[in-house]
Amino acid sequence: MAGLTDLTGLAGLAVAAAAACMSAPLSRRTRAACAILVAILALVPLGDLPPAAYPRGVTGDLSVASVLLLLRFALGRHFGWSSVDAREKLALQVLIAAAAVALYPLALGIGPFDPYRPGFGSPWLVGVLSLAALAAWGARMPLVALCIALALLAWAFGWYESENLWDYLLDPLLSAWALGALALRGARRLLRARAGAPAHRGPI
Amino acid sequence: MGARAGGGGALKRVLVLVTVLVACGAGVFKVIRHAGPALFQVPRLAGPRDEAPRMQTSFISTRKGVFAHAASLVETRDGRVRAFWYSGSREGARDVEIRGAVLDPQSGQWSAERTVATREATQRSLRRFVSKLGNPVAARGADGTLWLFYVTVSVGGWAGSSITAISSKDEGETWSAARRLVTSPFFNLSTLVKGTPFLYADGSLGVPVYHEFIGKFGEILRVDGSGAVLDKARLSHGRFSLQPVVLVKTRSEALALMRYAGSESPHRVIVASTSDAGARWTPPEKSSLSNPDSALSGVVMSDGAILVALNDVEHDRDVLSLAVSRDGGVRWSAVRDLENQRGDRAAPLDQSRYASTVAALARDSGAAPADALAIAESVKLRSCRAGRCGFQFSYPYLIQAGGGDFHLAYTWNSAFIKHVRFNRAWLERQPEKWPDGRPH
Repeated sequence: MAGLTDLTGLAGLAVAAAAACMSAPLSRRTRAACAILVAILALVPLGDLPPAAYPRGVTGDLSVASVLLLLRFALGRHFGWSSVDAREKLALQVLIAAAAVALYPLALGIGPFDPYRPGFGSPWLVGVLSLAALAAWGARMPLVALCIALALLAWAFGWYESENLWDYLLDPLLSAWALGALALRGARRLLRARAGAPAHRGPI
Repeated sequence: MGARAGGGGALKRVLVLVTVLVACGAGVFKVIRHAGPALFQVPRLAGPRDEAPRMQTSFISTRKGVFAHAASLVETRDGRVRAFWYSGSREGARDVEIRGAVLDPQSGQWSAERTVATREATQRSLRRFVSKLGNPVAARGADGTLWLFYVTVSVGGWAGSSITAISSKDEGETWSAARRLVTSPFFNLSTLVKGTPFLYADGSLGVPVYHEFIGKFGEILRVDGSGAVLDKARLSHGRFSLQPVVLVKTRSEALALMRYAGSESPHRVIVASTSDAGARWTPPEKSSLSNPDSALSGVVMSDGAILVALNDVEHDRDVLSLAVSRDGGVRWSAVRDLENQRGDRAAPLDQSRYASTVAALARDSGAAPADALAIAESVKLRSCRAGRCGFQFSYPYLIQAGGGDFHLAYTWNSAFIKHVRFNRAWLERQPEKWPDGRPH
């Protein structure tokens, strides 16, 4: 009998599989059918384990923020919601990338300080995140506010097997997405600046 | 239309705010309920008794032709000793299982070994793929529950390890479903167990763990009665220390000894200490105990002296010794070499002489003469490469039972788990020597 945290962990990966379907160049209805089918298949045991259990062995559980963003993407694509505001998307990527850069190297043993430790219940971390969520709400960045708030809520209720708040906020795949997007953005700006440089020089 | 859209936007905004406020409240509530720091619980141990010196050896594992490694011991409530280790066709093979056996202290006989956990059962229970199993470590919770923490890997080598826990309410006869401890934010990679767990005064369990991915360092996990990780504290950092052993001296003082995984000579056991129940640990430094990048184990005795079992040499694992410190871990003196095949290092034995030496050692260790040859053949399979054979006595695990006897289990030539049982009277009769060989 699977426990709640197994179901939630596997469900997160099923959402990821469904979101992958939703990104396929198919008709709206086919995409939706594919997403539902893939999500169900990911959770149906074949032999000992459901298919989602295999990537789960490697990736662990996706963070609440990842699942929320994947759901936002999948539902937005199906219902034709407008894409996330560019300013908010950038803020989200910067926050995730900054957290990843601060967390992973130190948590993996570079230096005596372990930033992962406060995730087990530091009042400071919870306080800072609460303020960050409120600030994001005040700055009209609802997705940022919800990513933080739902991660806090899920952690408080023991949604996943992890007892560490960081695992609800962030995961390496989400971090890779944010860092990759920022690197791409930086590279594009650099290329644009280089391409534009002679044009600027000419008229002057 | 515009007014309706504006109203919808305002409603969404309010809903987001309500969610944020509820989440903040839930987070604060959880923080308030979170267990605060705790003092150590000092184990109650039997002191020296007026009894005859006693020391006996035997093999715990009996399967032939397999790799057997990383034993752990725990005393049951009725005074028996339960051993756990892992074994399979080779280290890291998919057929590796966690095995167990029980010692009857009266007869001195170990029960037949049996399977405690398998890879397949673990992955079914964890609802995730598991490719191999590793080190098990047993612990007694404050409520009497028996815990078994063991290493599981889903992908890659030992650097990809995480810790799985199972518990037993009937002294290890049956076990609960497995739960995975999440101890690292990066795919939960690279946390392993080896050292003996200990108790905090609030009933939580301290589990010494280590990482060997980007860094090689020790940590302590604090785990509650349900197996949830409450906290963790770093004992060292960098790439030079593994497999911490935490020796609780008082409610606030403890010593952590760690395997030296660095390359700079001298190769010494790494030591750190705390005087505030683990809130802070001193920077790790080299002790006077030699260490060839191998595990050690120890106990604090009733008079405060510390007894450790280790490979007290800088290279290879062909010597396994007991050492004692009577000043809290500053100075150490050698007590007794339990195994010493150093003489064969200079002139390695060929396979036939090796097999006869192993058979003789097996007989000395308590194996029946008829069994000794089969043991030697099993050891040859593990310890001979390209016609050259070596000895390895490693991964000691030392406990002191409630009755006062010491029990030491260790890997015997990568093929068997050996048990040494001795009492304080025997220990006191061993001539102690300083590290330079001078007698006390």
